[in-house]
Amino acid sequence: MHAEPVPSAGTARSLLALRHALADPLSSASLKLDLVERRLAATDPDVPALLERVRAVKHDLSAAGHILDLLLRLAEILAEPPQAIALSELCAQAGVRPAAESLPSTVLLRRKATAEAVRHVAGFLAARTRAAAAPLARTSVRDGCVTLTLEAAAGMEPTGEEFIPARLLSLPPGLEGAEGLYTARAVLEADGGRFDLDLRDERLIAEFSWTAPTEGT
Amino acid sequence: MNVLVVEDEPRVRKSLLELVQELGHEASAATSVADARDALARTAPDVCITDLGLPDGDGLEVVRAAKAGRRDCAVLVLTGQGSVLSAVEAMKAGAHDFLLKPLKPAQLASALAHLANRHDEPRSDEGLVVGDFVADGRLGEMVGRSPAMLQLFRLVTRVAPSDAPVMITGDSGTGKEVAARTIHLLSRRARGPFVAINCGAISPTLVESELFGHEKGSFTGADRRRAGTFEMAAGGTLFLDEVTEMPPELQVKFLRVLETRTFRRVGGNEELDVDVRLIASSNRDLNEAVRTEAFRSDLFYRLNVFPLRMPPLRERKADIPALANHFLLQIEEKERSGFKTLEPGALAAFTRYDWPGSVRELRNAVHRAYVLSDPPAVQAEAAEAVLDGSGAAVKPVPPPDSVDDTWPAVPVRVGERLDAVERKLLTATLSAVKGDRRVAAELLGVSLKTIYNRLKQYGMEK
Repeated sequence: MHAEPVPSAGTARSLLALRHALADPLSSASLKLDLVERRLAATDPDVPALLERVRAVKHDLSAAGHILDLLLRLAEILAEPPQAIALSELCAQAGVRPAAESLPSTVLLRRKATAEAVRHVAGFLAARTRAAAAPLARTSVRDGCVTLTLEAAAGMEPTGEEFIPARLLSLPPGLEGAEGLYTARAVLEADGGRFDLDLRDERLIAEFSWTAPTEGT
Repeated sequence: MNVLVVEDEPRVRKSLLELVQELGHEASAATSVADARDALARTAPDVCITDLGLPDGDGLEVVRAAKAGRRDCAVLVLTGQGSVLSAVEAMKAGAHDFLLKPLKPAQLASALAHLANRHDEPRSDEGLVVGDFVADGRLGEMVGRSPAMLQLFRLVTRVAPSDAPVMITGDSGTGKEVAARTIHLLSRRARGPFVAINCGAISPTLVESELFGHEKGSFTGADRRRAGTFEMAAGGTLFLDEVTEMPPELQVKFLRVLETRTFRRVGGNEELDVDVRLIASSNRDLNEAVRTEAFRSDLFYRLNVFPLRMPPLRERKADIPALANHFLLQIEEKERSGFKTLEPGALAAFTRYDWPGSVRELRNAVHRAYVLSDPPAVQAEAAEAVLDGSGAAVKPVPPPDSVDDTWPAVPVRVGERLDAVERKLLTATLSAVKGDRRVAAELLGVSLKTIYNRLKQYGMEK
């Protein structure tokens, strides 16, 4: 169920190099398009359809540049070395309070990035309830996994019929906060863990799980 | 303006040259550090736009060469890897600003327009402008002649014209916001807005909407589009007070905005450019805040490009007379009671005190002494009364809006004459404070002279 943790300082460097390599042609394209737009607007204001198209391409380029910036975030995540941390300490750092006393289990993970991911997901769940209430948190050990569950409070904001939580983890366009869910999944998977988002009884449920430490670790 | 573009990637270089020319400037190009050195010596450009990663070295070398050749050459740094540290190093080396690739033409055009405005301003030299502000022991809204303040004035005048982020540290009450306003006043953004936010006081649920604004219908209650702080401060300065109190989730979002120089309104798809100069402040030990991870190190590096420390008042006691007189004039301008000066004894009392609450405490003390004094001078006894014998702050008198509920009430009937009501209140207050007229004056928010006048008017003199 869980992948092995990824040793990743080198991967982080590769991602930055990739971002750098993509940034130059995108820069060049944006600058050229800007020139075209300026000249079109100056010389022939009677071609609104053409200008509209140029602006639409500029918008697409801008969106691509925005997504490219996620590579910076992924590189930061991968550059952080994993360390052993008690789940209770992680919860405290992320600002969530499990309903019952938190498990003493220690997990090997990227502490800063994971705390940030948990904090973001908690905020995402709260923002989707009418009262912006903090989600309920609980910890458990089952099936060889240590799990932190965040359950949104009742009173979910109305959503469209096509609302499929799992899709939110794959960067759907135009959804506020979805980039944070995408990076949350990346953080968990970088440490061999798993992040799931589900809708049960009209409540969003987020589950962060990691392989439970074996005896002596 | 004469602009030099230093970029090794041919397509980006060509596009940059074309855009710079389209914007009405003269443009030339270099492809490496060595090439840039030659071009800088030959053309002495007004602006140098340089990539950080060049084939024969670091773009920082170009920054230093540009500043060494012509001190007022503005350098814009382009970076493709988004490295916080290299961007900060570039600013420290003298770069005016940095832009993250992929480049956004609007950002580049905006940066060049700002520089062109500065270039066209009719000033003979920078020192003349600064000199006007330094006159009479003042720099903008800052007051002082002590060595610590003169050094601070030098640093402020040096950093103000650039767009570099400034981090102001110092104890509570040392005047961090005053320093930030002064930097804004001395900057080329002075005609733009100065917007201050207290980072510890923003409601966590409204944080994003406060900073970035929101679109109509983006959440329950968002019945119209609203501009956030970044939009309100556009073209000016954004002051982040108590920045280390910023909630962790907001620190992340803030960092992203600083990296990409763009943001979106909540519920919006349009990417908006950030056009603000950032000044942050904190009264905490920043290194400790970073060490304990209360404050993100990457955000710290971004904001701490030019650190300034505000000295506490106890380290610059020589400034107390000038500050006390400055505050007296400010208070007199509002209250117009006929005060012109402070008695030497009052200044001596203020100078002896250690001011744990720094300049803000001095200002409050001058105000209290003003209330307790008779014009035209703030009296020594009033200053002594404000500073109690042990050196602790001020007399333990509750402010007028928090008078102890256990104190007697004064019955008043509708239609009762005002002078009768005033007399009752004065009598009751004097009785409650055992006849201490100074304390009664402070409680009632009037001058001691007013108390004496009323006692005479109502025939209550003893």
